[in-house]
Amino acid sequence: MVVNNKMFECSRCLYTYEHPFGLTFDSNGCCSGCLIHDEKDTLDWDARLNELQSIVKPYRSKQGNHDCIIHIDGTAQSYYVVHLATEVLGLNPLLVNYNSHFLTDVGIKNIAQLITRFDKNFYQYTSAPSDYINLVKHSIQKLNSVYWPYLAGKTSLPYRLAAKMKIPLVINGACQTVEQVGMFSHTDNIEYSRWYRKQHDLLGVDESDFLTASGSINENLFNSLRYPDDEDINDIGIRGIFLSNYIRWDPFLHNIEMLKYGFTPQSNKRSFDTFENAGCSVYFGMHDILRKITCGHSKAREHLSREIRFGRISKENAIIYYNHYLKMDASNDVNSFFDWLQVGAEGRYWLMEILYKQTDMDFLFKKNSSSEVLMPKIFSEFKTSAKVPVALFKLFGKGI
Amino acid sequence: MIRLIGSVFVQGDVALQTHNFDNYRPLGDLKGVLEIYDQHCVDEIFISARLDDVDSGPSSYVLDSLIKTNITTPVVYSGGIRTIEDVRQCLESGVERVGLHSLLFMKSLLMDIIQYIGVQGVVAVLPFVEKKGEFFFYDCRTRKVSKPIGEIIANLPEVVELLLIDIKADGSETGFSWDVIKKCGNRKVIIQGGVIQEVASRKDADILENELSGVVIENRLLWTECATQNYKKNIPVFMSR
Amino acid sequence: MNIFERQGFMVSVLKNSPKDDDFNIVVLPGVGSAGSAAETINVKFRTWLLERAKAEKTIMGICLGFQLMCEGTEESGGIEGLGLLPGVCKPLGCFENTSLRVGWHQVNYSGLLSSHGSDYYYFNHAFGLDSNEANLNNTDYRIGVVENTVAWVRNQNIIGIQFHPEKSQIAGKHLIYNLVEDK
Repeated sequence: MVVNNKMFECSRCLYTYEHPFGLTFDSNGCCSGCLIHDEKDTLDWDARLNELQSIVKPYRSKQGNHDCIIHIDGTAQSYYVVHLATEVLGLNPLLVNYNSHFLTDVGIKNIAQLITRFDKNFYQYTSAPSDYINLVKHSIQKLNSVYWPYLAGKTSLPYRLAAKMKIPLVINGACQTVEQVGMFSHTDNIEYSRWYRKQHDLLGVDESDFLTASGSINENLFNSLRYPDDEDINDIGIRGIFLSNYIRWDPFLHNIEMLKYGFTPQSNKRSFDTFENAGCSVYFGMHDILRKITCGHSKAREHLSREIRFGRISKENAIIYYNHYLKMDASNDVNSFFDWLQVGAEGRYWLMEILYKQTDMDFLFKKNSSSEVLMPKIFSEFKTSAKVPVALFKLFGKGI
Repeated sequence: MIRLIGSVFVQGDVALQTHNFDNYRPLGDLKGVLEIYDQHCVDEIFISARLDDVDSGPSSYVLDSLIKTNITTPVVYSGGIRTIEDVRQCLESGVERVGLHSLLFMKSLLMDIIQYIGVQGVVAVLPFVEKKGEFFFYDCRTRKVSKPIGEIIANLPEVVELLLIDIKADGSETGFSWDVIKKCGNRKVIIQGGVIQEVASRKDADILENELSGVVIENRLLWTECATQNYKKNIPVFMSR
Repeated sequence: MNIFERQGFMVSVLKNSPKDDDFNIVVLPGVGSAGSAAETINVKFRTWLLERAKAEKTIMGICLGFQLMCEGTEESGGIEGLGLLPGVCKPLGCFENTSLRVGWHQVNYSGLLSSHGSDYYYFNHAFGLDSNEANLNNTDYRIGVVENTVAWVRNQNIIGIQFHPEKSQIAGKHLIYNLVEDK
């Protein structure tokens, strides 16, 4: 689709030029994401795995010490990454979690189950609730995001610990810039870096920029978000590798495998995928709603584009599903978020109406009688295993 | 010592990665790239811009980004420069040197620009294609192969630094056509396109330093943490400052 | 200008000679060729700069600015300079093995600053001052060199720098800071 002489929408998937990571198109209107996705069917993945094995080999501990760090949360991808690191690569990870303050009871259970099932040491950092709430308030106003503080924390904690504990290898799952928009080829072997973090995970704003803009964040809180200095990184040669560069990454197939480890999917209204980003109170709620408002990009578009590329959903059906998800009742998600944020009714309306220029307040705040979530056939068989969370915004809990 | 030059390509208001010169992948915001290049101390930054309207002057997105980032690394900018006023705008935005491509064929204007900015302020941007052992200039404006590159170089002022871009090897680690340097006489050249592994593996550092003044690395300085520092540490011809 | 402001110094950009001169340091910047810059300096600033130099107030020229502080330069067909530093700038090829110096070179800054040491700075020039220039052997002048070229020259309050501290990353920032703070 062409708008103003510019290619706007991909001829294959649902991504548009407005994707936050950026997108390019070839002469057939096919986006860079789809073109790179095609590598999944052309690359020699056995050879790629061998390459990964040779990369991790020097790091593999012979004495049973921790030889890598993995950030986990309540999602199926966490399970899959730990599975790969331990069962396939023979590593002994230290599992870490930067507490998002957004965990549901399902998320807490999933974390507990993961640690128990794989029997690994676990380190969790939780900042003071009032500090974190302030951080989220600033983040909404300055960056239009409820999620930035968590992203800043979860992308810095593993590397800070790596420097402190002298464990140079950090394992990440999917490289989203490759998976979504084909920013790099799988064979570019892109690794995590300060630039990648600021540019693609943190919306172009790192903790130094954020501190300058907000002015009131205290030093402890800043330090909890800080990415290590170059000196610390170079001192022990810290590397963050993406497994998706070396293993044919298919979230749907990988995630359903994780049921065998006791992972529990969490239902949500704004997508059919109950495995990805499960365990969070806001990811398919306020975070997704704000993302749609500010950059036109919703998670359902990403999931559907992914399944189009894997040939499991047609583009025509994907459009129907997408339009359906956009209309789903948002009021529970929006209200529960503002309750947690300690913002009253006037403040909520001001934020959405004045700051975000929304006109349909009923859609956001009043319960609509929306129909049941539509699910593509391939996913519907897993619907019953997806739990509706009963507790939101949990800091701690007894998981299992 | 040879300069390690980080490059970034811009089209419209986004930074892109080039592969085989005319294939693009997204990269992100230009300011982020400039900041990290500056922080990691590349020796120079080369920004090339492709403009929808080639006669509209230099990219305002690039010049605004330079003003906003306040970097202290020298910048070479190429794209859309047609007049002395365009050069002045670039200098005022913090550009140290300008890269000229289409203007290389407008001798009078080229000499005016050299007179205005000094011969040290100009880089002749020369993308090329090898065909049957011969090297031909690739005209970015028409997107067509043009004259033999030796002919174009011979018509340039002796002192102007040359940037030779092997477009078929662009974005790759190897593949640069070294024989093209023979067309440059005694001039010092900067090379781009499939160069990094080539430079790393050559043992004749003295010869390299005699032939080359700089190496442009497209894209991969961003692919790993502290890539610039690691290249400088591990490849002797680059200066570790 | 930015390199000064970002380090906390107050900066004024002058389009004409000022009525009041209470500046700690006056900087003649330089990107470009000599012709147009010289005309501006000679018409608008010459008298004031010469008076300032006589009053032993600090003047610093960078790259082209430095060359215009000399007796002159052969660039642009030959330009008269301010004569605050000795010698005439010539094409590099006259006294070096190269006609163009673009890149980073190590320069000893002892004498430019009161501290001792060296660092790498960015050069970008085709004309320069020969370090064997007879008048520079005068002990009033302290110089730093790269090969046969004057990289910097200082005679108390008169400072000329051939390289670009504003393009020399951390090394350049430190140099500027220390020069302004007179360290």
